[in-house]
Amino acid sequence: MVCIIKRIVYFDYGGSHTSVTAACIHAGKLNPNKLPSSDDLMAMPYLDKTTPEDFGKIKLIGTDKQGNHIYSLGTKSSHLGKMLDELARLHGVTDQYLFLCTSPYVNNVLRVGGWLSRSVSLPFLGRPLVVSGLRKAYPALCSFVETARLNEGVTMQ
Amino acid sequence: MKVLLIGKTGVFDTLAVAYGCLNQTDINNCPYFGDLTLENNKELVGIGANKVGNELFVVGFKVPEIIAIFNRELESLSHVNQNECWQVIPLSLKGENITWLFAWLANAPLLGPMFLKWARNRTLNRSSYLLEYGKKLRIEKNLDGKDKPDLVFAAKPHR
Repeated sequence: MVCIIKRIVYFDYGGSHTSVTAACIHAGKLNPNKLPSSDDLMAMPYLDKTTPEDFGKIKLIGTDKQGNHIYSLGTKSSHLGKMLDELARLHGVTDQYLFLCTSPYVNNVLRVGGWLSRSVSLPFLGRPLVVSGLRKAYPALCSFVETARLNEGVTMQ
Repeated sequence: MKVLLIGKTGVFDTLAVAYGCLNQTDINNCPYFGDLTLENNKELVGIGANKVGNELFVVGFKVPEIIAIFNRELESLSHVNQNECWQVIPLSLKGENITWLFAWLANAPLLGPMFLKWARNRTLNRSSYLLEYGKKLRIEKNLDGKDKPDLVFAAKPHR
């Protein structure tokens, strides 16, 4: 069996909440069967720690069991998947990359918390909301990652 | 070499700049000019090639620098052959926010066509500035050269 190692990039607007959480679930840093505590979430790399300079930068979160590299990315837009695919295609590396948008899993609590923490630089107000929002979105994110993992399995020949 | 110009609007102001780069002036006759479907889908639009065969593409995105950063990341992560690299140029054009606003409002259900006309007219009214910007860009970024500017090795330092 030949396994094609891919780079799986989870992206959203800010690249610091749902994309990082999804990437951590995929990389095995978070248990999909257990709701993470606030400490578990805040211990994740880059979670609620990104700065405006990080937009557009692909950040390595870890590797999954198949050896795929898992990344997170902030794009300042939720509708950029097509352009990311297009750029990868133009570079001739489309088979190496899979771009997955996690924006549909951003709920209002997370949106307000993320804005307070990252945009207004009030993390003491925003973080509790971020944690609450992420815990609320966690089951859906786990299901999304699992679907991505299963789809990814198709490329294994 | 392939060159991608990214501005806030793809098929409005950025397209005019691309025309300036290609030393052309007749924006109004371009089939992509003011095409909202292309604008909304964020598709890369091929405008043409210059005399040395460098192809020019345009796309619109609200923060053009992010695409340039992402492109650099992609190149370094994937070890893309430097000779096949794309030159991605984020643009910062005077007054493009208003064009972007009109292009965005052009998606409105009833008044959309009016805003689309305003967006097109705004680009046409500013075409002298945009075409000139494109001409300057061509010289500044050496778009008539066959190699990516940063790939040209420096000569031995003068003592």
